[in-house]
Formats: sequence, structure tokens, C-alpha cells
Amino acid sequence: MSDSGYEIVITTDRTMMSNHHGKEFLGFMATGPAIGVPHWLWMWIAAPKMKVDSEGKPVQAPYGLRKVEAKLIDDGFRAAIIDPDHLGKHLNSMKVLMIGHHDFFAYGPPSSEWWMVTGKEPVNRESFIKFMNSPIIKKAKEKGVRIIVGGPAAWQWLWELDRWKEWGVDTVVDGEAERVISGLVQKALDGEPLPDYIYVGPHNSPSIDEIPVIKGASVNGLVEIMRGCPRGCKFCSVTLRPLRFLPLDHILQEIDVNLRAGVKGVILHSEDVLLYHADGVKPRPEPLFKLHEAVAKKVPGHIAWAHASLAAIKYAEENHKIISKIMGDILHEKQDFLGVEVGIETGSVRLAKIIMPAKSAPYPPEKWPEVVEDAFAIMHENRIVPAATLILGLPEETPDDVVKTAELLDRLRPYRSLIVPMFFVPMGALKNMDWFRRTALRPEHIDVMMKTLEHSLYWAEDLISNVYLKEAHLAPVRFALKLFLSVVKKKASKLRPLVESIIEGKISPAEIEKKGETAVTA
Amino acid sequence: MTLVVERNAYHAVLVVTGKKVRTGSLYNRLLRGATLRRTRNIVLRIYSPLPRPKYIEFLRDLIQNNISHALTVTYGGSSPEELLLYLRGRNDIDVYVDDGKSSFAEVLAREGVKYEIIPSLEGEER
Ligand code: SF4
Repeated sequence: MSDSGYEIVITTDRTMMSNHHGKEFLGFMATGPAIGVPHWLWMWIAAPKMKVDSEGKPVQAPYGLRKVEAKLIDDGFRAAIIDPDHLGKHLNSMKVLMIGHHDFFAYGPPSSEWWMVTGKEPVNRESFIKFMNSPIIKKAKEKGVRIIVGGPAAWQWLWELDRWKEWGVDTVVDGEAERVISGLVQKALDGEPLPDYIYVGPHNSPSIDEIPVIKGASVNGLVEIMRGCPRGCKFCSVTLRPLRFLPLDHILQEIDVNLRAGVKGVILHSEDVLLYHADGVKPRPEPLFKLHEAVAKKVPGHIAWAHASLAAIKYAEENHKIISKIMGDILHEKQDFLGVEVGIETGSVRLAKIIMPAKSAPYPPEKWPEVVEDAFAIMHENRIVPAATLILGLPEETPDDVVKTAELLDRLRPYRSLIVPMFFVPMGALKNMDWFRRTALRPEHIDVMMKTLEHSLYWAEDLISNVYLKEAHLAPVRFALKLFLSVVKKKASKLRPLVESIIEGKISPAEIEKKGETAVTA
Repeated sequence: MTLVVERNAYHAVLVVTGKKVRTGSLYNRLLRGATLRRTRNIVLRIYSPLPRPKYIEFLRDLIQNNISHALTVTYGGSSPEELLLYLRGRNDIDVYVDDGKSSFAEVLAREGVKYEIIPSLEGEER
């Protein structure tokens, strides 16, 4: 057993510590259970192991972990990110174990939806629980290692108090950690009592100068370009935090770190990439052109956007031709397409006004369906491929709202995209998914879910063959995914008549349950 | 070492015996305390016979509904004696209890420590 001298070891489970074959969207498969293919094959497609060095340090690691690592190193701690399979190498020196995750227990979207619809635990949950139950975590705890967990899914620990206790987690940290983490780690090293839970307030957010440059490569070259969001939606903690734009120089330094590790592409990360140095919610051409030109000049690989809002896409193109200039002039020779996550959430103006009145800005919420359609058309024309989300089952939702969403889906059919429904699942219901499935799923939901499945299947094959997985070395993944798609297609076509019967009221979702079939995966 | 989220904070003690309380009431008291001290950092020290972190079940709503203030939740101990020990010489700590009939409340009253009872949800739940 080597003793590296890392007192602080930062890690996560396999579903997070993976670059998903260099294709971010494959990582989404880790949010579902294995369907139609064996579990091992599903895991291999979704989360293959990362390459590591002799100490077990992964070549790429999740960006959030990289930030924590960088902050601790800058503050003089002996800290490193270690692959979960290699923690044993550091047991002698380890005093603090820090674990981050996007979705520890699969309570977040889309994991909870997969779980609800299929009745099976998603592989990310299984993988995390297995990791925490592994002998190495037990040994670390016996040795007195203090465990700190955090990340965007920190809140999920509030619902897993037995596991929190069983695994000996000392502190759960929620929120931007830069200003807190070194003090907390020092306390842990000094053997001081630790708080059980810390929520870092918006006023404790780090300034630009306090945000460190990552020291090692991030998964698939993700680098953040801004923090915060100006839309001001109610109940959103992001919008309370100050809006901070990372300087171009900082962004390029992080890209250099990735390039040195052989990561050739970039995912620009922000809640809304088009709002980089925007005028409120109105995108401005100069900063966006400058950003994309500088990044395109630097990286040999593809550029992707983490998230963009549909309203910003429409505004950017219709007012400044930003989308067509980025795709047509700046990225034209570099790539055929650009991937991005967007949120449709609903096709109902009534519901949009209630749940997301600021999402359509600078357009009024009354125009939301139009904004969605126009943005999809703009993206299609400019070879931007969105992975879009919908939210079903919100407490305020009426059957008519869902019908409006279904109608919008019909209008989106011609546009190359993947659309994923997310079901609003109250936390209490997660303990009893079968009950929830039987009582909350309505015929209109099933119709929308079928429509999204059919839409995504319609475009998925095209995307797999012609857009995302063209490279020769990805042939096995392509093959496995096509196998999976053919299974799902077959099941979906069998389901259609059943869904028609549900919509016509001839059979209820509960009756299907009684027959032992799950709503969508059958 | 004091964490950034604990600096100039409003410090309060909450006794959690397992009674469901009106989260809004408790939250308003914490916000009021923080505002009076011109801070947005709140440190909540828990005394509870419930084991760590089981007591958090009764703080879930509070933690999840708060997005505006820093909130640090620390476990102080399980007995009224530990609470008294902590409060000795600390006159600026507000003490909240979830059950006015608990042994904690009795001991606090006996020792002349001021505390507030958070209104209960009992009888209000469906
Ligand atoms: S758009 Fe999203 S991130 Fe921005 S304020 Fe609204 S909910 Fe928050």
C-alpha cells in the first residue's frame, strides 16, 4: 500500500467518476435502471472507469470536485481527488474524506422519474450505496477518518438519516463551498467538533477572485463561465447569489489545464450560457462572440453548452443573429453540431405563469409556447441539438395543462432534439413509488410520456449514427445503444394501443399496474 | 476555528424532543434574531435526546425552506444538564424549545433561563 501523504481525499462513486466515453449525454443513462440490456453493459455504457495514474488520481474528475481540490491545494492542504477504486492506497494518510455528487440517492431529476416509471432503483443510487457500504469506507471510519459530503444534492441526506448515521458522515455541506471548505477541513484535521449541516448563504458566495482555477482536468472539459442567474424565479437559491462572470482569462486557463490532460473539447457551463455578460436577460453579441472565438481558437475538439434558456436563444438570434453567427461563422469549420440542455417544462401558459413567470423573459409568459417553438426552430436550423426537459405532475397542474404540453410536443416533432419528461415527485412519495404511480399518473401524463418517448426515439437513431457517436472507437457503444433502442422501440410500439385505451378511458393506469405492467417500460 | 458562516452569527439553541412544530414560526424567530443582530449567518445549536443526526427529521422543512441565510446546524448534547453547561455565562443566546412540558423546559424554568416555546403543529395536521 503506497502512502502518498494526502490527508484529504476527495472522491465520488463510479457513476460520477467517469467521462461517459467522452459523451456527456451517455451519463444520463446512469440516472436510470438497466433496461433491456444486462446491468453490467448498462454501467459500461453509462459510466466506464476513468484512466488513473499510479496513485489512483483520475485523468478527469467532476468539475465540482476539481474546484474543492483546487481551493484546498491553494490553501496549503495536501488534498487530491482519488478514483473510488483506489482509495485503499491512501488509507494510511487519509484524515478527511470528502464525497461529492449530483444525485447521491437518485432523488433528483431525472433519476426519480426513471425510478417512479420503472419501479426499479436507478443505477446511480445502487452504485453510490454500494460504494458507501464498501469495506474501504468502513475501514476509513474505523481509523477515525472524518467524512464530509456535499454538492448540489446535499439536501438528499436530509431524507437518508439512517444511512447518514450508519456510514458515519460528519458534515453535510450545501451551497458554494469556496469560503467554507478550508476552515471546515482544518477543524476536521484539528479534531474539533464539526457541524452536522451547513447551508452556505448567498452572501457567503465567493467573489471572482476567490474562485480557484482547477488543477486537474474536468470531465469532458467542463469549465464554468459564470455563476448566478438574473431571472429571479421565486424559491431559487441560485438567483439570490451574486451574478459573477468568470473572466475570459480564467476560462482559458482552465481550458489549458484540460488540454494538458488530453481533453480536447469544452463544455461551457452556466445556468444560461447566452447570458454571459448579458444585459440582464438580454444576450449581448460582443462578449459571446469573443468567448466563442477565443475558445474555438484554443481547443481542437468540440464546444458544447451546458444549459441555455429558450428565451435567450430566441432573443439572441432574432435581435443580433448571435446563434447563426456562432454556429455559422465561428464554429462552422470546427463542428457539425452543438449540444445543450434546455428546459421546456410546460406547454401551458397558465402553468408557466405560476411556476416560472420569469423563464420567458424578455418575452411575456403568455408567449411561452411560441418562445419554445421559435427557439427549437432556430436551434434546428443552426445544428444545435437540445436535450430538453418537461415537468409533469406539479401540484398546480390541471389535465388541460398537460394537454397543452402534448400539443406543443406535436409541434416540436420536426425539430432534432431529445425530450425527457420529469415527474414532480414529492419526497414523501419516494418511499412508496408504487402507490405514487397508481395515484398520481393520469392518462394525459401517459400520453405526454409516450409522445416524448416517440419523439426521442424518432431522433435518437439519427443522433447516434450521424451526430454524437460517429467516431470509429465508439462503435461498440453505438452498437449497444442501438440494441437498447431497438428493445425500447419494440416495447413502445406494443404500448401504443394500451396508451390509446387509457386516453380513451377504456382502461386506467391503475388497472395496468394490477396486470403487473409498468406504465412505460412494460 | 470559526467558519465564515459562523462569523458574527446569530446564535440560537433549539431543543428538539420530537414534537412537530410550526416551521414558519421557528423560521420567523430565527430571521428576527438575525435581523436584530444585523447578520445573515445563523448558527443553530441543537440539544436533543434524539441521536445525531436523527433530530434533523424535525428540521427538514426549516433547512429546505431557507435559501436566504447561512444556516449552520450543530449538535450540542442530549441532556438538559449539557444545555445548562453551555448556556452558563452566555447571556446572548436565544433558547427555543419544541415542547413546553419536556424535561428540558422544566430544568430551564427551574434555573431561571428564558426560553420560547415554538407553537406546535399537533392537532393541526390532517
Ligand atoms: S431560471 Fe433557473 S437558475 Fe435562473 S432564477 Fe429561475 S430557477 Fe433559478
